[in-house]
Amino acid sequence: MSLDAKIVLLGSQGVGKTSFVVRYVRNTFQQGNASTIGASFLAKKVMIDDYVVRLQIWDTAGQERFRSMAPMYYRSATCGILCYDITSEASFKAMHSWLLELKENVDSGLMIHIVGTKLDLVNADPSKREVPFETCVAYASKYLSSGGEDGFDGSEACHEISAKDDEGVEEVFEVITRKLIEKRRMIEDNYQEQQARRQTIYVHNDEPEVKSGCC
Amino acid sequence: MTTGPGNGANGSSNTLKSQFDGIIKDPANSLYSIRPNSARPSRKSTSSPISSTDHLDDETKSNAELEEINSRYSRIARFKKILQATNVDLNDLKRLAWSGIPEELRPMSWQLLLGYLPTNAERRVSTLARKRKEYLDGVSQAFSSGLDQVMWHQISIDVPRTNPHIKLYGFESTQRALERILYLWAIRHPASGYVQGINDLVTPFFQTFLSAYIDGDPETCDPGTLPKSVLDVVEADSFWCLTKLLDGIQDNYIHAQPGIQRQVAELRDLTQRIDAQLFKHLQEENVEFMQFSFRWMNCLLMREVSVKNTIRMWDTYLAEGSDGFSKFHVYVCAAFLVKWSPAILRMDFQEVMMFLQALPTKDWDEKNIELLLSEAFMWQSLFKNASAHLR
Repeated sequence: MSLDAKIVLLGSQGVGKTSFVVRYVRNTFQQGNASTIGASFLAKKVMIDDYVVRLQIWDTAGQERFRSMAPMYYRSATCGILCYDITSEASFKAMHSWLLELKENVDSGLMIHIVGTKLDLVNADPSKREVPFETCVAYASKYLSSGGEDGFDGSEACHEISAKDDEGVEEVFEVITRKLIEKRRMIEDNYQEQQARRQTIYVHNDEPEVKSGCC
Repeated sequence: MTTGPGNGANGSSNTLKSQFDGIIKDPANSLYSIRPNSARPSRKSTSSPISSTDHLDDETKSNAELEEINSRYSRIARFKKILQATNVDLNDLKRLAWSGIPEELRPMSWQLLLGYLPTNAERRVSTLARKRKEYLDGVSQAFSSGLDQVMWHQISIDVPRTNPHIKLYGFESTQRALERILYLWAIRHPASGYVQGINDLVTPFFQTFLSAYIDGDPETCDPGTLPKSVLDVVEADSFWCLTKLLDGIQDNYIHAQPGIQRQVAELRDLTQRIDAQLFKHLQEENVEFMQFSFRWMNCLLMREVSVKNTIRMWDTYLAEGSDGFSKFHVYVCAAFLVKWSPAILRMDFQEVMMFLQALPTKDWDEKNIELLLSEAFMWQSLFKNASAHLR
């Protein structure tokens, strides 16, 4: 079975969105990537269980000026990854406006994950951390749970990574991909169930009609 | 050639020109010292640089090489004739510059074509002195009052990732100069402010103006080794010329970037007319022009071709006049896109996107750029002003 997933990365300028996704797709790291203009496109094919998943990733530009272009990329997305730099509280706060924008413009089915970057800097010097992981989890619990799922635990949607040290990168996409497969399965199951139910209802509905015709 | 110093790679081969003081005052002072056989080796050349500029090693030169030197000499002579006039005729200069400016004459020619350097020889020295002082005063004023932190943050994280593969841009003194140029420009243009990509656009100026003062390749030069007087004028001239360039494409960088929206629409339109098959294929694969050509407009193709190739392109853009960077550029983009048509036609969405983001232009030299420019010229002659009734 195959599945196409469109993922869009959003977040402030310089948090390392490109480094993150380039590490995932090409397994390389380069200090000082040229800034992303507009957006750049990357793709990767992964096998999970019996699914072949084609990930199409839009790595958007972080600068405010390019923001008017973002809808072109997130409108058709199945998953949004909001990125912030764990050594910059400002970048964490800036993420909120992205979340609001997504909620306003995209239907509630969009899966959202939050990724804190530059974990290597904090590993080397813990005093550099400006955003505790718990803050992110609390944020996710508060704002991402409105999808209606009961007992939503924000930590499911929060990650911290280092593109430089290749820490946690693979995991983000694996979690997302598994969730997307799960979702697909549920939709398929639902569909089959509905089909079955529809037939039952059909049979059920037939009776009064027959009756009314009779009376 | 046996006379090359052979140390071109380590950057120490750049030496300050002895007459730098004169060139600072008036770039026309560089004209007297240009010799036809002092050509810097083209970057494609595998031979070592000519170090002794005063004698020709006839035995080792082929006829073709001699012919090239001859044509270069007559070209330089024609430029010199225009540039040494009391009143430079800009139309004459444009006519010549379209096909490329010899690198020794480029700094002065660009400054004239941009309207930064006065065409009247008598006004040059005083105008330059005044503009450079104005820049330095502007900088010290901008940095003595409180910085616009948001703007400064954006600039200071982009400068270290500007042309990261070129040595020149890794040096401390280059990076500090670019920061000052970009910051001063940004705070003086609040409607756009600093927009990513403008950092790319300053670099052709910076290295071209730097080249006026050194022998050797500016891309390996550490400006920190040069006298402050040289660095200051390179920086100030770069600032003013960047300002002139951006004046012409301001609407590329203001809110919603209407200039870029328009250019992308024009490119789409042009492509449909030039290569209907390609256009149809892109449509069927759901490739949006905005997705790949936004960057072509925002960075004037600087992410697609090298800085050296960009510099050659700008000779022609500047010769095209005030709308070279906004109108002619779109024709260049169209010529650029249809170049890859045979490859693109065989690709699906994913492949097209990947391909267009990393086009195989690494080995492009001046010849490739000149072909591209002449193709663009042809499309422009065919379609300019024709859009309304052909639609």
